Amino acid sequence: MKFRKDRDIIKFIGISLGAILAGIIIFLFIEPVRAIGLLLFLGGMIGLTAGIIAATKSKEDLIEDERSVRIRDKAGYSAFIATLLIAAIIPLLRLLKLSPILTPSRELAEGVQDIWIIGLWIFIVLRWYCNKKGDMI
Amino acid sequence: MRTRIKELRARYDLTQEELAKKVGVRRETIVFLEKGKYNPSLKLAYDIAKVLKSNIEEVFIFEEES
Repeated sequence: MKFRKDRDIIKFIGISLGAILAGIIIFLFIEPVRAIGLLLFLGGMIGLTAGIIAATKSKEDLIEDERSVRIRDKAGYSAFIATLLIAAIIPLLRLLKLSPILTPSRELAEGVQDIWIIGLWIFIVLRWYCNKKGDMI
Repeated sequence: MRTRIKELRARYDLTQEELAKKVGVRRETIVFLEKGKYNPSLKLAYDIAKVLKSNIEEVFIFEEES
């Protein structure tokens, strides 16, 4: 497997490693802000993984052309509408005591996190589907 | 819609990668175009036709549904 070693990749991986290191130091030694340390560590790990994946691809593979923009827009719009519909339907289901996400013991603010995660998954799945299906006349 | 991209590419001895680079898209987009699975923007259609030294209607052939 070939890895690109250009300036952008090195910079990105360097920043990610820095975030991991800072995260570990904050988590271990600065107790009042341990959560920030953990977030920095997780962000750094995600950045490092993304950087390594990007390094295996050529620059041309990473450019955002009109097809990928169109797929993203299409999937994003559909996911947004689906998320809005779910967010609108769930309170109704709650009134009928049928909601799987919002129960009387669970507030709307807690359920919103689930709705966001559902929306994100809908977006990921739709983007994959639109990419496979193509865009024919 | 069908396209003559593959045929014209062969005429000018261009790979999918080279054509993609010339028109500023991913190789994958050229693959989808050749399969007739992607409907390009007017700008992309124009750019491809220009690289392949043809008119848009020579490269992209619209077949009316009967």
